[in-house]
Amino acid sequence: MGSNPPEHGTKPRSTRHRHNHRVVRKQPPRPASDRHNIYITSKTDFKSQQRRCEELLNAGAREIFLHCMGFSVTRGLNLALRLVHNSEGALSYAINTSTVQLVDELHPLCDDEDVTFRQRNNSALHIKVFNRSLFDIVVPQPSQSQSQAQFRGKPKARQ
Amino acid sequence: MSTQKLEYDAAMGGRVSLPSHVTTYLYAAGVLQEIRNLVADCRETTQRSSKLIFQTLPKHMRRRAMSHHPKRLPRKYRQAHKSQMGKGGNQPVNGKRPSRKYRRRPKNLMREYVRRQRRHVWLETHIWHAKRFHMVERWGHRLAFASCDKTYRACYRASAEHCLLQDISFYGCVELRGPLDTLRQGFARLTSPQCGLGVTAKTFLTGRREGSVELFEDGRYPHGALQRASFMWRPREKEEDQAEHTLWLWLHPSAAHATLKQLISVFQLKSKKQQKMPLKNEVDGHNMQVEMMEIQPEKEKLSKKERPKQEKVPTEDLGQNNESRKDSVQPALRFWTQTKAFELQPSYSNPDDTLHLVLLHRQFNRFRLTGPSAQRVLAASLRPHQQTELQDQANYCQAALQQGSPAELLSNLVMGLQVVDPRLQRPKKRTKAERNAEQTRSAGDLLVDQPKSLPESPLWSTEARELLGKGIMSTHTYEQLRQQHAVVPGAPCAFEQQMQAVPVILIQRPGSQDSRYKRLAYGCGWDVIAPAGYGMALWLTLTMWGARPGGLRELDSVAREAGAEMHLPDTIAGVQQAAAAADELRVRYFRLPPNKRTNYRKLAVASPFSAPWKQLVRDWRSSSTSASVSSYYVLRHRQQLEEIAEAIRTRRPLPEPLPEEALIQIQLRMISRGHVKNNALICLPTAADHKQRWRHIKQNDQASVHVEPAQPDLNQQLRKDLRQSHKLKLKRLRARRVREKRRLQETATKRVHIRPANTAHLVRTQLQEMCRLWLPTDPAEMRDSVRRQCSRQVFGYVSSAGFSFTEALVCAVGYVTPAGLHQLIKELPSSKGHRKQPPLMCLVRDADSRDYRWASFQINLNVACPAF
Repeated sequence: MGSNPPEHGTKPRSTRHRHNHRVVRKQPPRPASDRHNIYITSKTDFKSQQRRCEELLNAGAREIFLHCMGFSVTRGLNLALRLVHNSEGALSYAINTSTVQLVDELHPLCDDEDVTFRQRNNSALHIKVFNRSLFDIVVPQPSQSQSQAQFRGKPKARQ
Repeated sequence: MSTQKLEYDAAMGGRVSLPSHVTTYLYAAGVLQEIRNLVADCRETTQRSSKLIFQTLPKHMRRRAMSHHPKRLPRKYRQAHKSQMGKGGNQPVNGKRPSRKYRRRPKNLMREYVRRQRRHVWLETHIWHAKRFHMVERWGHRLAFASCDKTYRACYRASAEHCLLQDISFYGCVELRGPLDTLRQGFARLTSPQCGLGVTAKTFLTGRREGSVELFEDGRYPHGALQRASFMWRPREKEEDQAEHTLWLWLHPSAAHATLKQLISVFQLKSKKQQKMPLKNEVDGHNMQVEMMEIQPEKEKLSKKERPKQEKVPTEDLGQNNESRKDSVQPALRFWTQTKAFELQPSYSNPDDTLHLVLLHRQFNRFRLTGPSAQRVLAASLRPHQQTELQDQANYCQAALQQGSPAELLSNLVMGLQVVDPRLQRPKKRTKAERNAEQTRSAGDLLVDQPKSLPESPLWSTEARELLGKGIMSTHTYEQLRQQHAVVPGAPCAFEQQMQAVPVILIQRPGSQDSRYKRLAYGCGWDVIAPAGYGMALWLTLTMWGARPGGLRELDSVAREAGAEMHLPDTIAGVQQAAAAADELRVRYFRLPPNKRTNYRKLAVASPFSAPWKQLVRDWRSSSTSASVSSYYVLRHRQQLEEIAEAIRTRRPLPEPLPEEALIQIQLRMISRGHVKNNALICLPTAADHKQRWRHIKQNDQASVHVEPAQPDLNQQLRKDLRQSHKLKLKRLRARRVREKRRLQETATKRVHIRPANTAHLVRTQLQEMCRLWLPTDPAEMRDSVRRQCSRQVFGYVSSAGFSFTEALVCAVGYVTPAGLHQLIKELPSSKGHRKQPPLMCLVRDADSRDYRWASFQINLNVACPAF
């Protein structure tokens, strides 16, 4: 067993490199990292992710993006549908599909070899969840005490 | 030296003629007399302590009231006199502390700093840390332990989301230079291929990546573990040239001395501190007892004059000598010994002078940045120098630092970089470094191909380092220049263009690589190696860009979060750390009042303060042959570990033969409730426990699965009796002294005082006896005292535990014996069907608790090369 076992839901990996290498996965690249881009993982609690999105939307965010990849695509879809369903028609969504190129490192197990790489692709989904209100209603900014009750951290200055 | 200061001697026309050589036996005789005098002096002052210092002075040097006024003594005796007077319970001779104003004068302050550094080495950032951190003495250094603020959770957040900054300059660098084959053969004796890649693996040899190896004592693998050391090779310009390779080993200070000893013995190195060199103007070599010291090479005449004074040199040799000096054919070589009083960088070499080892003491600063935001902090604080000749290196570094996380790059990548002085890169206020959006190259592209010149850095050459050290502009000069030249405050100045470029080496750390156990890339970051002298400048810049400084505590907590340990319990550092922790716990335990002390005898805990690995291994050994001398080691054999993990996954018995003295590192997670601390017991569940578990799950009950029945404490009565008798004895002694005093008072005319008690030794032995009665018996004395100490069999111990923020659970790292694991699998209830097996479970009990709780665990395969 020279490598990590495959993730759930992936097809069984070919056993060609099994004894020569240790497969090391790299962190997949993230297009953006702010509060409105949420990356769905299969480990994070579903409820807490839902709450996080709802808080963002309730705080006046026009749109949020859910990014999910591979096994967590279904979780992302579930989350988006749940958000839309719970909003009673206020929210809507748009979906983009894409392919993420991943590179794995194959670390050698004996001294004579160097690190080699393996390219693979994974399907990814980018879901935009947005406010569907026809009129751009300007929501009055909540007062300082209210906003502090809602967030734990400092409210971020928004342009 | 001698040329600068001319003496008025024979060469100048004076009467005094300096000898060109010194006869060793005459010199030795002189030295002998000196030593004799010294010893006599020592005896005089220390052994015959009845005399005070001023009493030893000859009559004519004594002065009135000398004992009161130390300034009446000769200066060289004052220090001794002061300490003598201080000890005797008299008033301190000079008790007044100098005024603050005096102490804070730069000269006095520096002198004080130098004095305080004599005991412990200070890092360059010491003073900054000492103002903000709790400092501890570790491994010959004075190191920052943790911030005085409450930053435990903040440091975790920094390591997971932002950027945690630590100064790990206490890691010492050792440079090894020599042919590759010699190095390979040498390190083959100190490491084992079973633990993973060796030092000379192809992937490291180009200098592209940094590696780490487990070092063992020569030929004692798997026993005798020294430490884990990271290393890097110097990148070479041309692949094919067979010249020497250069290797940097980064040694932990706790085991650096032992490792160095091993290196010296394996490579047969000799110190260059004392060298024998051939004498330049060879004189006759018949008598080897006369060793010559060359004083001035050009003084040939003088040496001729001196020669007749030495008895054993025949005069006819002289003539020969003078003629043969030019052609120098037949006489045997003569040597002189060169001794360096102080070496800044102690160096060693092997007999045929091919392999060199240099200790690069205090040549580098090594800062550790952890967390995804380390990228942004580094990108903001390191601006590539414009005039650098390695432009593709700088381009690659900039592109690499634009990525979202360090983990997207090649693991353990080494990047050299020439940057502008870090003082020029500071923001006005402490700000968070922001990511700028444009990405020039994709992560995959950066991962797969790096420019050839990427790891090259001038830091590798000694001359460049020396030049760097000389060219540093001090902060004072820098500020003064800015005062003069900066018209607008904060605007860049012209003189700043002329400041020298600073070479740094960046080393990537990949973080967690097992996505099933820990989220990918937890603990990723960069190590920055900067030249000496730039430590403080770089440190301040990094903190100004939002890196959160941490201390030694964070090293351990990051390791624990990543499911590993900094120091394995069989390495030197691990043993030291465990002993220190045990001492501390023991002292703390006996500081508590008796009714607040946990009674470990009642809890059936054999060794509450430290994990008794030796006795654990002894108790689980199947053959009782060599039961007396037992040793243990941590299993690092990767293939064996994989086999064991596979056996656990499929619930089959472990592959035979089991390594009997091994300990297997496991990563535990508490399943529901309960907290464990260090030294918790890992126990085997029984069949009843498994049934109880199902019952608890059904009833949604969170209670502990089993409660240890309280054992009777047989010593309780003994302690009580001992205490009674001791108090009675002291009382009786006092009564006797009172009676004696009264008796004396009857006859005396003056007032009689009571005799001092002198019961210190009684009290001390009583305390020792009491401590012995409080603590459980030492597990070394009895067989099976560890394995069967309580109602469940103990097969392992937890070595570091705590709440893990990444998992939101109590997680721990522990070690178990293979035989215990074997039994655990054998006793599992048979599972129904072929469903996916959950991880294996065991019972865990804290040392001061009676509750057994369930914990699931998995084997850590990457013991030898952790990725944090």
